[in-house]
Amino acid sequence: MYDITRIKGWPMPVLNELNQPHFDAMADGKVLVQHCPDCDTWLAPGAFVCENCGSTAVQWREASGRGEIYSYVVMHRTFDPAFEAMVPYNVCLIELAEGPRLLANVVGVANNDLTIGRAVQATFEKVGEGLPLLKFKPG
Amino acid sequence: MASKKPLAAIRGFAMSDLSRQYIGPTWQLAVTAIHRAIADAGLKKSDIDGLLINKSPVATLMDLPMDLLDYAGLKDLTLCSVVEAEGSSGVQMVQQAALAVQAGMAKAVVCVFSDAPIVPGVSTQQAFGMPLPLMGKLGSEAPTGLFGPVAAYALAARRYMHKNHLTEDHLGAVAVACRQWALKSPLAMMKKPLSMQDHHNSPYVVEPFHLFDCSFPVNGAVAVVVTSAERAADGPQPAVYIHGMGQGHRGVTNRRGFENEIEIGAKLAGQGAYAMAGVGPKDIDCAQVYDAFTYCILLQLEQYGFVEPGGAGEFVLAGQTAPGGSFPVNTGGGQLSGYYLQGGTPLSEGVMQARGTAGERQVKHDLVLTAAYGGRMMYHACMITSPHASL
Repeated sequence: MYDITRIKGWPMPVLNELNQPHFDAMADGKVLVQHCPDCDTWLAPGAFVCENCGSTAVQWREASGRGEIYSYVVMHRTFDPAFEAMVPYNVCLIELAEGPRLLANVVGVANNDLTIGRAVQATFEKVGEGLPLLKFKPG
Repeated sequence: MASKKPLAAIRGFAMSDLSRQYIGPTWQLAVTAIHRAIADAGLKKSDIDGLLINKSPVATLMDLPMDLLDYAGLKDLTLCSVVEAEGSSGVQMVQQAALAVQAGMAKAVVCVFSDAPIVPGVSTQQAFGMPLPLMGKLGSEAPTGLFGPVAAYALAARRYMHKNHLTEDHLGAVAVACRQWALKSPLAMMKKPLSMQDHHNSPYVVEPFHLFDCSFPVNGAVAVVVTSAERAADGPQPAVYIHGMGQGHRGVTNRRGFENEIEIGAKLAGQGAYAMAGVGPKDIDCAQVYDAFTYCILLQLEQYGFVEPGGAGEFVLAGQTAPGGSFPVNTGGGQLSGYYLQGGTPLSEGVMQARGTAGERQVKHDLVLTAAYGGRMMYHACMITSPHASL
């Protein structure tokens, strides 16, 4: 569990060394995740050690931004005012081509047309008062 | 370590009043349940030498503090601890009490879960509607708007449904079966008959979950008194013998490579308990499992070996877990239609069934499996109990 804060009016996790590079890279239009140079395993952001080999030499590295929908939900109510105008909105678990999974909203597709396995591509949109945020679109 | 002798037994059992209104602070409900359980065991407070406490993971330690022993008037304890393993704690407390009794560290241990999430001015819907991230360490939930346990479980359920070609009918069948049991339980909160159509017509909370796919909070407490099998046999109530216990913890495997929605720790927990009791899933008469959401029953039926992987949806749709079915599950209505006391819910119904005191809903109970889990199905504990001292 972690604390939630607001950055430019948008709900965000409190940033630390394990997640800040991932979010900072969004301003440059990059999907930055982690990678283990010792066993060549790509990791989702937030790893202290490589879950495959246990190496502590985990590094930040840019992913391709390509992936597919691993699972998805449609939120029919929300508990945060930032999302009230978006209801019903989707939240998808995206499996990147490199392997790790990320949560994101998928844009440019009706909620009814979401399907597991659908190919998606990273895109970046500003939310709140101009915070760049990683999203995905069909592609 | 297969053994046919019981590890320990539940000698006393009681609950506080249950309510969807505020009926007092968490500690006060706990004290009521503790006192009632000690009386139910035919013991005095001075006979109790162990206390294990389980609070809700979303409550603070101040709600149910260590000095609950003072509030309850317990003295000279040789065992006292807060057990924190999220929703699996309800069963884990009994496991730890059984180990303590076996080791001679205590003779009579009270285990209590208490929760009062509904306070004046807060609706039952709001009580668990906090932004509760459940996906892992990163914290990418908040910016995407994934809030609450409903959302995290719905994400897992969608993947499970896709994998097994399930529809909302299969989820609805779980809710309907639980409601059928609830109609037979005087303790259940949901007393209106529920049809498949009612389930489908109820609003979505987080699709694919409708309102009736979700459990609902109540205020209340449940307590049991664990002693040695010999001491339990002397009690005024039928002893519930503990023959097998297991745990399974796989952490957050939803990072890569695993199907976290399917490969949960329940399998590991079940394997341990079956081996210890020297029985298998086919020997179990009924199961009481943690059903925070409908999907959770389906997956646990498979993980504990009652149904082949992928077969739970059709099994429940055929009415097999409902009254009159071949394998009764959550015979008090579970958390979906009975009452949501986290791990205390399956524990309470498991005790009543194993004692043979479940009234109109009583089923064959030579062997009862009681299971609970916590987190987003990350922490699992189960036990196999019986009214028989030897299997």
